[in-house]
Amino acid sequence: MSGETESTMTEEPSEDGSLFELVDPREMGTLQRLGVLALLGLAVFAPIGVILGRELMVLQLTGAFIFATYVMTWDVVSGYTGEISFGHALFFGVGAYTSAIVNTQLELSLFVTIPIGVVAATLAGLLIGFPSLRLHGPYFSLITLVTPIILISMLVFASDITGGASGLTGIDVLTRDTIISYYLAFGVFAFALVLFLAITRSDAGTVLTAIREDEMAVQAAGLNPQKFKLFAFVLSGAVGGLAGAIALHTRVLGGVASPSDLLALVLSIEVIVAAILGGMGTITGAAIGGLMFYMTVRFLRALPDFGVPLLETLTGAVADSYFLIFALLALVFLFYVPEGALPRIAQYVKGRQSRAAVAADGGRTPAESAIAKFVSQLRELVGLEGGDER
Amino acid sequence: MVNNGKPKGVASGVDRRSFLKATGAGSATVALAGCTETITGGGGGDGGIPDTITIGAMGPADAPFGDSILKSAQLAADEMNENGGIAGADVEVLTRDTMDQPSTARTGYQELTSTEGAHATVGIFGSEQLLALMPEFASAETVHLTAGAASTEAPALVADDYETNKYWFRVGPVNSVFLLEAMIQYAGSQFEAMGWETVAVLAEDYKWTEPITSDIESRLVDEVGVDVVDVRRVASGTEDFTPVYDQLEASDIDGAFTALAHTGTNSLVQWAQQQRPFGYGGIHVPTQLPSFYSATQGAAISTFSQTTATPTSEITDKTIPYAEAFNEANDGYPVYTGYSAYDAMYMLKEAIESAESVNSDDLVTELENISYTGTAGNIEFFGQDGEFPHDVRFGEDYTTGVFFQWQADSEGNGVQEVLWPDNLATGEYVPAPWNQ
Repeated sequence: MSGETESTMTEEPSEDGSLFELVDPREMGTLQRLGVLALLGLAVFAPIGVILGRELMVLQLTGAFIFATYVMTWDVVSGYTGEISFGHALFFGVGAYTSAIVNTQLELSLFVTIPIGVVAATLAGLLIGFPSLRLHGPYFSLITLVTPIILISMLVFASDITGGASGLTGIDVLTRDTIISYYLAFGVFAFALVLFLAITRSDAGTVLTAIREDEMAVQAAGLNPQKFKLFAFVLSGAVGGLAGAIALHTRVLGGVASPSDLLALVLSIEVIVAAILGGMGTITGAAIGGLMFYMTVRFLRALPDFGVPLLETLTGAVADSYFLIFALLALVFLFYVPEGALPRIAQYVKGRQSRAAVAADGGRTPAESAIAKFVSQLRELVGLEGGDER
Repeated sequence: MVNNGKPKGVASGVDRRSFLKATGAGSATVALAGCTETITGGGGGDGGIPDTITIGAMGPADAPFGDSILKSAQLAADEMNENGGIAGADVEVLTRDTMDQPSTARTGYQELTSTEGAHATVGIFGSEQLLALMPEFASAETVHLTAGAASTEAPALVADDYETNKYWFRVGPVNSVFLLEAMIQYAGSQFEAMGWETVAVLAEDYKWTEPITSDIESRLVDEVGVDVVDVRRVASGTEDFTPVYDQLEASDIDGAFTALAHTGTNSLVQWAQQQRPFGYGGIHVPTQLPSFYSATQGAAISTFSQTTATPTSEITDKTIPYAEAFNEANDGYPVYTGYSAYDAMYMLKEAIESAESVNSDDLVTELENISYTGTAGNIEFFGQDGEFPHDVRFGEDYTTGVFFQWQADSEGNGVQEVLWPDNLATGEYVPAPWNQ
């Protein structure tokens, strides 16, 4: 059972030179080597963790891999093109729910339903991607904001096949085993990481970044930005749908699909916050931001009661308002560390400025460009003269 | 595109460490810092009686439904520890707040069973959280006694896959199918005296009300002999009930028979503020709260609802002493989930003592055969082949709940007077002041 599923998850490097370069340690700097070491450490953690009686941590890391994958799928669209999506949970939900409904209604095997879920999420990517060609900035963000909400309403409306607001049960699972679930989630995470890195480090990534900085210039260069944007959305939808479906059919969600876990607005916002903290438009920053965010939230919630009333109130308040704390932290980051944690750390390590390769505007950070783009589009909307992007 | 350059010399140790913190390795360290307890063998003991028996209690701590669960579990444990514990072992209750979120409930449950080594858990309010935890009960192979959520999905899962889901039981409330049963029995016994001849059914569009609205019209017409003008499923999240009430008023009904929980407060307050010329009640979760009358400044007057028990209803000789002890300890009376959580704790005690073990499979066998007189009645579960496996049985010989109505005493304070069943009744139905 595990063998079969593992084989579907292996990362077959395509016959693409850039991909080989990407995973060749000799070509890497110190940071990448550390990153690969960390990945290898995570790759062997599960059995050791279980043996050491740290099963809870193995479970939480499993969830963290899925969440970090979500964050990367947001980053490859919004972090690179600057079109901010506020409803990325749509893709996770569509992938998981489609697989679940096909599985429960038609009783097809998961090896059929998961790919169907991925296809459905890909179509959702197209569906969201098309408006983004015509609508920009705030208009586009509004569309992404309402789409998952519409979907939740539809789920409630058709609750006899979707389970409605309380969730759908009786769905098959690939495995209930902790370690196998861990490796499936890790496989999805590593696959997404390598795939997105390869794409964003290729010429396509350069074009996507250029779209964020100055879409006009991309057009003037004779490239079609719409094609590249659609591509980013489709890719993001497909991988997001895969991550959602894998979460659903393993121990992460244990075969119960519920709107709160897969479609809620708070999930879409958490993804954005984690990407800002880790570093927008970097993929690795998004991956690490996702892992850190997920684990830190769980750490905060599990803060022990110290038996001291004041402290207890404090830790209780921290556990209750983790989201507020992170939202404020994200705001602070946007002001003082707009490039995110990872690029900032990279600067220290390298001892020099590390900016995005494409700097159309005196080397702004991805977050700054995305916000500047959003603001200028907002100004155009409300009739103020656009163009002044400060 | 952070660092696609080549390294410039070797980073100093401090910097390397600071970078490590930001990588996966760092996240492991952070999370490891959170795990300070030693593992006492996963959830569900492997037999025998340990020195300390750990029971997890879960619910949304900020809501009265959850608060009553957590405090009732603690109350039961305190009482047990004063009287020799469970089979001589100390009882420890660990609580987790579900925040009404499936993901938080899942994390809390995993902590309880894997890190804290809980031997069983009680509680949970809300169907979404309960369903999200069903796979977790199976993975942890640890007995769970539910004290909220009326959804019939959970027993359906036990029926579908007994071996996987057999660790789940529900002490209360009775499930939605039986809630309908209670409504029909109440209607047959009371509607004539109340003057309800033409009624409308007002249910919120959530899954738990589906078993109610699917049959209620035909059963009210056939078995109770009243006219039903409308069975209205109100969209989840509805805040303005005025248009609905306008239509109901136009069809000249005597009463609105409700199945409301999430949307109940707005619906009730608007009915009272607009002084609608029809009665209002049925199943109404917010109005069950002992503090609801004062919280709504009397708007709840004359509304009635089914509930597991009230602080003044003498369902068994344990009901009132428990409600009083809870009030003594917490300065307020429990809501319905509290009665079930308290009963669940004592049922675990009985099962563990009878099995002389905390082994989960032994406890399942004991609980399947248990007959326990608790605060909510005589509690027994359906067996493996029953209509609703491991769900609480409904009926005169088991538990039916009560119907109560908010009435004002001589000092103007709200009192929950029991209307049904007859042997527990403390008062008779009184229409709202503006309808008298």
